[in-house]
Amino acid sequence: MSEERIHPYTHLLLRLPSGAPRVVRLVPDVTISLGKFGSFPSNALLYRPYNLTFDILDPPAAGLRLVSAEEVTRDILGGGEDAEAEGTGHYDLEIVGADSEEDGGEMMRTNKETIDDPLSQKLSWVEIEQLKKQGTGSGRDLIQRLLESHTAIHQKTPFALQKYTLRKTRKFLRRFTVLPLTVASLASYLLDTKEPIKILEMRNETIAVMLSLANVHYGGRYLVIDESGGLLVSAIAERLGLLEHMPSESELFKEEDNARKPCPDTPLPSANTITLIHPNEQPNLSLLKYFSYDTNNPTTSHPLHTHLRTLNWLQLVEPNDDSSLEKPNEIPAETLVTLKGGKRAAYWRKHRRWEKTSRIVAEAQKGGFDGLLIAAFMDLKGILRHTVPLLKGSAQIVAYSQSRESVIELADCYSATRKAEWINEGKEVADDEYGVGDPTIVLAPTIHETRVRKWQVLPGRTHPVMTARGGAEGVVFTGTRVLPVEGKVEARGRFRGQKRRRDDGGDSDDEEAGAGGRGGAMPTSPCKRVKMEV
Amino acid sequence: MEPVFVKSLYHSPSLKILSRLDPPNNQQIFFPFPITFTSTPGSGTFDPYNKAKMPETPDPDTTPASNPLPPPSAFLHTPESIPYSSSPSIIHLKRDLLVPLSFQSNGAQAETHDARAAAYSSKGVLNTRFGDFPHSSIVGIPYGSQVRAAPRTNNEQNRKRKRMEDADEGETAEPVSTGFIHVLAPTAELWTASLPHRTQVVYMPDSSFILHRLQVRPGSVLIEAGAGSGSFTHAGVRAAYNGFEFHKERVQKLTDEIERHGLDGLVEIVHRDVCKDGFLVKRMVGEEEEDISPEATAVFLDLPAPWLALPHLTRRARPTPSLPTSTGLTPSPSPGPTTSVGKIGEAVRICTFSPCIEQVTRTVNVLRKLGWVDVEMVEIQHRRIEVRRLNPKGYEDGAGPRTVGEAVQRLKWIGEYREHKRKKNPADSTITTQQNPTEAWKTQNSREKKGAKDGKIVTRIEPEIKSHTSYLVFAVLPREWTVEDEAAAQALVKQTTKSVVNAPVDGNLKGNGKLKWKGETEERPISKRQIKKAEREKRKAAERRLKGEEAVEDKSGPPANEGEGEDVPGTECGNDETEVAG
Repeated sequence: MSEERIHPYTHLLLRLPSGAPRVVRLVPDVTISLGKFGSFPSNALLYRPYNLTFDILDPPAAGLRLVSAEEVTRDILGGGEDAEAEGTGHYDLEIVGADSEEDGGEMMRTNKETIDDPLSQKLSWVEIEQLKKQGTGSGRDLIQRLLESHTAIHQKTPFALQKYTLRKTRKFLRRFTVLPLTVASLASYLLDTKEPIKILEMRNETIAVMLSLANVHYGGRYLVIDESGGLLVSAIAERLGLLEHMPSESELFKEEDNARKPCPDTPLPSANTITLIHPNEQPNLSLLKYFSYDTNNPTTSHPLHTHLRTLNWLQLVEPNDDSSLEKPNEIPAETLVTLKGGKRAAYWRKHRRWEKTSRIVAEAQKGGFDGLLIAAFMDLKGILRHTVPLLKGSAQIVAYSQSRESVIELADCYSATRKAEWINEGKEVADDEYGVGDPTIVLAPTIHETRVRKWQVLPGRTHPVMTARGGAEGVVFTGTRVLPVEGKVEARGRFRGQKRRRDDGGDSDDEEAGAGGRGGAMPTSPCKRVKMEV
Repeated sequence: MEPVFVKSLYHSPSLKILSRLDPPNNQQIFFPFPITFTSTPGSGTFDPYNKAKMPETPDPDTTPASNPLPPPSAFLHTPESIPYSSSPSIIHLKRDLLVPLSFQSNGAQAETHDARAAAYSSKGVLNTRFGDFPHSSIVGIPYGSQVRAAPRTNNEQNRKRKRMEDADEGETAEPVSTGFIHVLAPTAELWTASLPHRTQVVYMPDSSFILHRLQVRPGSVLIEAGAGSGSFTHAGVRAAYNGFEFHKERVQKLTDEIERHGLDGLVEIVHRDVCKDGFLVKRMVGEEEEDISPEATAVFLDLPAPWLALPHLTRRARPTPSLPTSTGLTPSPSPGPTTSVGKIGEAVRICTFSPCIEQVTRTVNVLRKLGWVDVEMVEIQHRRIEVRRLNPKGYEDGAGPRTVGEAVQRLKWIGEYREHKRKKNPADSTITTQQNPTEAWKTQNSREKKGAKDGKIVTRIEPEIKSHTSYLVFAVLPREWTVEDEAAAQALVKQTTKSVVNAPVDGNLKGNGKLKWKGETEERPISKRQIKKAEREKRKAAERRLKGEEAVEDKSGPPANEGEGEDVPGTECGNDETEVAG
């Protein structure tokens, strides 16, 4: 599988000791620089497996040293594991000898004797810089020196010492872990270090919930509205098995030839596809480049090339007004022969493009999709108005929104009273220009909010992390496309208790009941009247 | 071509072979953990080099016609119309009231999965509080259809009901109301929601995140230990399904449920105590049955003591010497779910699911000792939001005054009315000079509900939230990387690259995370000649610049704000600008 080794020209994610991620495209024969952590030749990573941790060798030498898992773990724990084995629990508790009988033998060490003094570190800034320059042991020596020259180190509790060591390790250790760039790691990378607004601040847990609720699985046809730069599309593609692709050397360098050659007439598959509707002329799927697929210059062997179709809203809603869907003028075969080669090729290219586009549009308009996934800035109501009718019965509808409000408004459009209004008063009354259209075709609208809370798990120091990312909460709307029966239906069952039937007049949410007769009976006082209403 | 297995450790009370172990109350069995491995070798491995061919392989739309295999499960491929089959459909009665039901063609008792559903369905008719629905009116229509109740049939239940209603006068006059239901195609989520909760269920927010983090994709092999009521199994199969099904080698111990749902080519269920016996699967190798590794890439452990099972998940034939002695484990020669020696292995991801923090600390401790890295623990908080409109008349809005002004007004009226009443001669009831305060109240505050768009939209959280499900511990076991492997990799590098060790920093591709965000195409040389030329220029430029200096060091700086620098390539690269141009 693609995850087993690092192949050339793939994107990887390097995680530095500080936790900061870096995305790198591994091109052979270059040097990859990690800023203050140093640099190394890219060939040192080539064909090595993922998930390993490396130390960057010190300057005269160029290369990497594999760090064993035991060593990595030891550095993360900061020497705490032995204490736990001894069963002392928390490190600031000291087991006091048997002579103090009163307090069960435990005493808390405090920091009352510790004096915060910036001068306790004897190494100056300049000296540290110097050490970093000549640094040996990939930064370990520097950390050791820092610890040695700290005058108040003996005053620190073991707990504090560990924390100090860890902090310095994070800062100076020249080490990184190679991780595969998957949708999950890409999302967290974009969210933490890039511009999260461009992916609508979609967190991993939200993406996961969307994929599950939309019942995304191999073999389905999915209708997608994605304004997150392709993050949602790539997440779906991953579930459909469309992301794994090995670019071969020949493809990388023969792209120009491919462009010139007539596109091989590949039959478009009818299942396991993603159909993307985009608001602009061209889709924005720039994030797919991390998975070696460039929409502007697609690699024909990439699974997405045939399984991803795109069309814009104009083509879907008003196809007659779209110039790209107009059939190009037919040139009779006799005249075609007389044309110059370039012109003839242009003619065929145009013709083929038209054929492909019109087929995609026709397919989309025919509908029958297995699911609808939305992550958009646009108004959700309008999107659903045009897309829900294209779904199969029982298909799931999933829409992401950064803010609760827009989703709440959407859920209200499918409320029981709206549905009743639509059925009773008809389309003319209930429909409005900006609404969702027929509300009866969506069942059980539900709103989900989910959030992951990270924990720090260190021996004796297990607790939730102190800070987490705020920003958009991110909510997910779901519903099921259903096929209502023709004619009038009544949402009646035998579930109304007798209580309800008895006080026929004072029904709170039954609209027929309200209009009826209570004019005749005159209650004696407003207060009593109020009580009755309640 | 190696088979791909989807594995599941499944334990279900409906399992026949388990009945011996069932507690008297026929509830969940906790121990030993039945493993049910269902072998569904997909015929294709995900050989990266064959990957390009993948898309042409089975197309669910076309294969069933030419293929003698039964059609894929309704969980994985929604049929055009509701079939007579053992796979359940989900009957949506109302929000949060779902019943799984399957329809049998012979008109016999429909197969139901729990007592509740059985109560709903008798003799080919689904009886609900919303009316009666003969199965024949449901089968054959498309999934997702709304179904109107049939006129009442003369079955026993209705006769009883009628008797009761007859006794209640006036009720008979009311016409029989026709309710409706919706029939939905089964999904893992709907199935879980419709389950009678036999054991602790892994709910959607957890299972979705676990599958996302475990990188379960089509073709993955997933081990699930302690499968409870199978909700995670369904979600896992959905993620790992890659269109291949394998029917040749059926394992004897298939559970009813998986088979009924048509997932039996995809899930292998083995009943076993994994903490003692490990994860190896019996498989026919040639003539003999051997224990082989399932070669999984993802593991999900929902066990009370996951740390006991962890030592079995190892690559080495011999367990690591650093095994924690406290677990009291005897070393067993079981190579874990991962690949055998000699084959390039993949990293294995694990997730353990345990509700208590003590379980977590122990698990993490053992994970770290066994060489797992990237240990991370999270918990998931999930809420469902309910949306409603404040009813202008209703209780929620306060039937009383809504503002201070209204309160004052009403109090005034009450006073006036009392005055009016006192003055009024009780004998002379016809004189009503003053308007009744109630009427006045009503006309002044037009609180009549006008339509669906009246009233403020308000939200609430669902009545009962799951404030804690379990802690999820994730970890990765990287593949073993031996000296020989390293040598092989180096040889491969030498063979395929120019083996430049001290190459100049490539400005365009620097590993500083500054790849452009928006549609920026990397300037990639397009012909070999151009590559060479660029290479030469770069080297020259670097030599010029680096003369006298030591190894190339790049200023790192905080990630530059891309907004401004976006249009000018290389602005954030500072001194590397010359190279970018080349």
